[in-house]
Amino acid sequence: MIEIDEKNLKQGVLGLVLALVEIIEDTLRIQAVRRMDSGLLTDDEIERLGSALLDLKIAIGEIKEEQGITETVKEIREELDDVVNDVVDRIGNPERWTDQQVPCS
Amino acid sequence: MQLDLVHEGGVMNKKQREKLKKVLQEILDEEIDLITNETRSIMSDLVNKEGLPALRTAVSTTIADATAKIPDPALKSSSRPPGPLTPGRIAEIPLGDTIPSAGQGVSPGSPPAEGPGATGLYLYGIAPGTTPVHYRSSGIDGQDVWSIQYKDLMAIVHDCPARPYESTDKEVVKDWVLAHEKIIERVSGDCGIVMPFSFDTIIKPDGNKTAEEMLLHWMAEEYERLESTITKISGKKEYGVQIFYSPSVMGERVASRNPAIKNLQEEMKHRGPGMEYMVRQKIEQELKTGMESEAASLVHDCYKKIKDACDDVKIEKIKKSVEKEEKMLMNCSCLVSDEDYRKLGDVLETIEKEYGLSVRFTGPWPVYSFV
Repeated sequence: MIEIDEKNLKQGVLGLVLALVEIIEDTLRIQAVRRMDSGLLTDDEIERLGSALLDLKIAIGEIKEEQGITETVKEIREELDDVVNDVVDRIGNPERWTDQQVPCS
Repeated sequence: MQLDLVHEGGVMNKKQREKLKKVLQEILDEEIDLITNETRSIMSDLVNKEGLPALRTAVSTTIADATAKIPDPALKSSSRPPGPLTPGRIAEIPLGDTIPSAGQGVSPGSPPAEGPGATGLYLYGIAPGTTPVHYRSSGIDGQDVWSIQYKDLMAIVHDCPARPYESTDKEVVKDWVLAHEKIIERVSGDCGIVMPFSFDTIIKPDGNKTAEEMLLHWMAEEYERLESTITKISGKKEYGVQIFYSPSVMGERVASRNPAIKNLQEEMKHRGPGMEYMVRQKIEQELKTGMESEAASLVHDCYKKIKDACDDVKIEKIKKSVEKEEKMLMNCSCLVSDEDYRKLGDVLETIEKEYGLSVRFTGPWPVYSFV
């Protein structure tokens, strides 16, 4: 019998969701910097883009703080980093493909 | 980076942010409920079909493995904590537990031979020489330490049960590891050199061969390798070198050298908070790539300098530090002859002065990393 603590589950799921939101935020930010570098945006547009991203960052920080999941989110992101590193390492090193099948033809 | 940029005139004021937060929170809660409801049946199916049998198999294999290794039921669930003295080092050394069983396929589940006469040998190390070693009651748990001769090599051992030393008590393990180190040091003093083995290396009897016969057989098979290793390490000692950098100092140096960062810092002034945020992102990006290439070139330079002063260098894993102001740049073990010891010290001093890094130099250790 596997017991699941609902509060724990909620913390875990909320942590996971916020970790994903943070990753999306990172991606948005990287894209925003690229747009800015492209020179196609006016100063006014850059200002608005930056403000929106800044607000998002602050909001995420506050939610994490309120829910007491700052540490959880950090841990989840570190774990995800490890998983991604592992996958990249596997794909980059063909000799390791035999260890485990990689969906890659 | 500071986050005190709460601004009233921005695109969103505090009220709007509160609202956004609320909305986000609601969406989150709803999503969580939805996901949980939708997937509940799938999850339980999955757990029942896949998870439980796998778990069961895993548990039974683990138990079988554990019981195969440890005949004593009292020790069944104990896991050995890493030796507190040189934990990373010991864990990395190959040829850990029970040499003969490796490759000879002792199937899990079959209990090791036990009973009178079925004793194992605890191996401390291999040393050259023909004068028998006998240290009365000075080994682990006060065991008599003696030597087994093969040609001109001696295996330093004590008699023990054919199972690993294990305890959940950290102090007990610490005493064991210390006793192990002490014997290594003593042999090194008496024989001039010793090829140390990691803590808890135990030779088991196999079939109708005693542990001593197994050990002699192994020494005969590996004789050439043992000889050449001892030649390689004779007159040499191992030192640990860890080099640290301060991210803030390095960041400042990179920033001061990079005109692009200076320009961006100028550009950031007198701008709206949104623009400032965006420009700051660019600065951080520049800084990150700058610091990465700086670190890479530092590692390259340091490695070259250290390598020149040593017989052999082994790069060890970088350890993540909790401290923000001191990050590990490089971690290596160096095999150094007694004459070269000063040379390495000088090189490390140069590294500290020239590059503004801090160096931790430890040793001498038994040559664990090079055997």
